[in-house]
Amino acid sequence: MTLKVAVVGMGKMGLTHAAMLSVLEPGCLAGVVESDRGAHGTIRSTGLAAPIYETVEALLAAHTLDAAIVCTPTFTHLSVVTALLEKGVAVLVEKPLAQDLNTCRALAKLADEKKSVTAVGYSLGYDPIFNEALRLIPSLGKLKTYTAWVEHAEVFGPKKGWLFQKAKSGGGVIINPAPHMLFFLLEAFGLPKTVKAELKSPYSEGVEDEAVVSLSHAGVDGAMKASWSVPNKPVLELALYVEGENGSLAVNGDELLIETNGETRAIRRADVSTEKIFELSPEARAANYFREDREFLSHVRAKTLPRQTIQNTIKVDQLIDAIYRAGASGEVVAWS
Amino acid sequence: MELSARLPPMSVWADEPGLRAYLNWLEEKGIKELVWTPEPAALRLVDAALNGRPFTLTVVLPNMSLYARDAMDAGPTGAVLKRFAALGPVELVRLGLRLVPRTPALLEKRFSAGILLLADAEFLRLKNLPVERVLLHNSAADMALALGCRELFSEFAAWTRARGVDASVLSSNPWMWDKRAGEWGGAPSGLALRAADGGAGWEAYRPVTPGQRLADWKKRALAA
Repeated sequence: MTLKVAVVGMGKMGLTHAAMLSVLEPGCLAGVVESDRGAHGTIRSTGLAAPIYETVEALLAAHTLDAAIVCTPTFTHLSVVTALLEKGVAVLVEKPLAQDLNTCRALAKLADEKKSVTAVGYSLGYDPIFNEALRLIPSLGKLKTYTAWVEHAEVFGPKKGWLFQKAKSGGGVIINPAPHMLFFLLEAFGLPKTVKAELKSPYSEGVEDEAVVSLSHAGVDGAMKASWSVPNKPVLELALYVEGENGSLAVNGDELLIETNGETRAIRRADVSTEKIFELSPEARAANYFREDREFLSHVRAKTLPRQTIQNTIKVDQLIDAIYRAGASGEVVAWS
Repeated sequence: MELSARLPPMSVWADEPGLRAYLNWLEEKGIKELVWTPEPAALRLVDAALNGRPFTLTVVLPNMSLYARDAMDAGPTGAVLKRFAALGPVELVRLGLRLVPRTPALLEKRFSAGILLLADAEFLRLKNLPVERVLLHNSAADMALALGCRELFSEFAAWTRARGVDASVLSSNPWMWDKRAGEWGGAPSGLALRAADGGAGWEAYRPVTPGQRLADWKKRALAA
């Protein structure tokens, strides 16, 4: 039987997920929510046949849903996700989960109580070339160090909108683009023992534009440099360099380079991504959203828990919180 | 079919010497058609570098990555206005005349009308370049294929006919194109499909070996 799925928030990400759902399971899109009534005509003209509602309450009154994908601004996640979970709807929520750790914990507690199928949109977890890096990192032997980069050409002056208001977004480059990399670092190197951070705001008022984060894990120390003010980075670029006793490895969106025993190999995206997928934007690695939605729907159907549940990924929210505390105090913060 | 290669974004080839070296290599390989998604910052460089070379130019419109970035900065309307602001008075008048037949669709803020408005504003800035073909950008085409928006393809076909250029559609999902063609009783508006192969050309060219690229990452890590 076809699942009944909704998309809440029809900005760029909502439209992307609606497209993925239309390909993955034609006819599954029961409805979408967009609070801006002026955008309804544009949404309808994309070919989307599902009814459009202005509120999640109106959507829930009209449909008994199996699942929903939440793509609204961060500060609305608590109310939207709560309304869906209370009705027994499985939820995939775009990252970050919420604007502060307490709100994240409240949502994790509710997901636990309701025994809900949930997922958080850390799409790098579905990236074939980064997953290949995850597989190959142990072959470097005892790890010595790593450096990660999160770079985007996005902010070069004061900006308006909820994304640049800390109370609504939770912060700047650390809580918005960087969680993809933070998720990956936790997968690759485990929880850190200590966190140190330097945050700078050369352009924005109230949120950080640049960050240098030092992480000390059991057995390896590393650093992440994040900035959304890097010229000539039209698309968000995530990269990692790792050095171990047996060699080194570098990975970014295009390729993976690995050197062991004096020989360097290049593994391209096409080498590790041979399955039939729907790709909406190769530059933005949008196929990862396809894989993410496909896995989410399979768990909704099987009533099983995905890898990236709210509870499993709250470590990312804890790390974000630790980075902000370390940045504010200038002190080394111990993981707790 | 003539040999074809992509010209990647400026962030890849970086500067004028980098662009010229790549174009020299393509010439040696016998490439005849260059496929490029125009970027405003690169227009002058590409214009100068193509002068006297044997390539025909196929442009991918509109630049959806650039639009997404501008829209994040200035909102959807602001992103469109930014393209208007880049046009001279003559181009603005020309654009105004071209928009008249599409006024109702623009007032309704229809998806296809918005895409073609962006394409028009970008196309008018290419008047000095030897453009022979226009490809509909794969992000727009694939969104329309996923959601079943046949209107975009018929409007795009009419748009290219009115501007006297050959037209095709770029897609990362040829299987989806075939599926929709089956549902719609043939390829949309007789348009041909081109597969979006990403870095074809540059992937083979890459002037730096894997060992050198890894060494560069190490240098960056040490500097960090």
